[in-house]
Amino acid sequence: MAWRLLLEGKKDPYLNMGTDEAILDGVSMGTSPRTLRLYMWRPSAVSIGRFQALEDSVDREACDLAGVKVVRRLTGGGAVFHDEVGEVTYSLTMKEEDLPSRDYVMSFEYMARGVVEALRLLGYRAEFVPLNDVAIGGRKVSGSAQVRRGGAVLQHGTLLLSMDKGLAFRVLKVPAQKVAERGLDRPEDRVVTLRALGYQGGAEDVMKALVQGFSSSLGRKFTEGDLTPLERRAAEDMAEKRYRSRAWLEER
Amino acid sequence: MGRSTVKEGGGKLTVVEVRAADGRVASARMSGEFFAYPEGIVEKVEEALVGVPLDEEEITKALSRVLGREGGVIVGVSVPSLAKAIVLAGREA
Repeated sequence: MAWRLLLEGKKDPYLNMGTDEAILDGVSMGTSPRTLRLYMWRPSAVSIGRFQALEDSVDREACDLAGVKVVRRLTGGGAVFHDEVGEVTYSLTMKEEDLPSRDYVMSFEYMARGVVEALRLLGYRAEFVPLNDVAIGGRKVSGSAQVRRGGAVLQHGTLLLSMDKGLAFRVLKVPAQKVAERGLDRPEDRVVTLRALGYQGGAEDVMKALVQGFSSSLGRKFTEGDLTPLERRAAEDMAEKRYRSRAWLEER
Repeated sequence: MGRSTVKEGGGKLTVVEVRAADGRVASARMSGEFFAYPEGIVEKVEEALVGVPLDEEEITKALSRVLGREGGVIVGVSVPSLAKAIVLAGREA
């Protein structure tokens, strides 16, 4: 099977996560091709990591007031604000055997390399910052998270075209330790968007660059395709049964 | 319930909460921004800590044993740091 490119528009947070999980299961079972999916969010949402304590990561009241949804991801990592207008998200799903090594730490870099490449194509000197970030001039422009299941690996991550920073940092809870570690920099100053760097292009241009970037970093050509009926059903099922459920959100 | 936070340089923020009884772990919960493989490993780690004496060496052994047995990996926090935090949290409880 050729590697598939899924160019999707804006979906709701629960369906976005359900879709990523449906693709992961499909690749694991051999019923789905390796896939690069690019998507956006509507409405804006905070996603929290698989292992985060809900209370510690997000201000639910602030989210409610602002109409921002909260969803727990399948992947680990921290809390992320997904801006409805300005965030382009990638998810890359392949088999573990496609990875160049068995090293977990190195796999984050390998799977996020397409983002670094894309930014280079757009004219920016970006660098991968271990464990799972991409930065321009020392400021974070992208973060990624990963999960593995049944011999398949899914990594998804953000790329900030623009962001309502005021809103983002109102709804996210940045732990005191993180603030202390980085001295006097405000959390919002450690993050940068392409807009803030003067980029004039739109989400479509960013997506085009991401496709080229991943194609180049993985040495693969992608064929544009759609979700299969099986995946579509599984995505909706997961969105309903897992991502919308209180039990899942409040698990930790 | 005692609580302790770990943030190693270049690592991921990790919080451990421990209930202790008679100098041993009665229950433990780990949360934070780390990654863990395979799915379900964190629950197995938490279960494996029950009954273990609140001693860094014992906790380290228990952590290594469950991770080894399950082929588990936690990315973002090291076993020694985790053990230290668990003991601290347990003693505070």
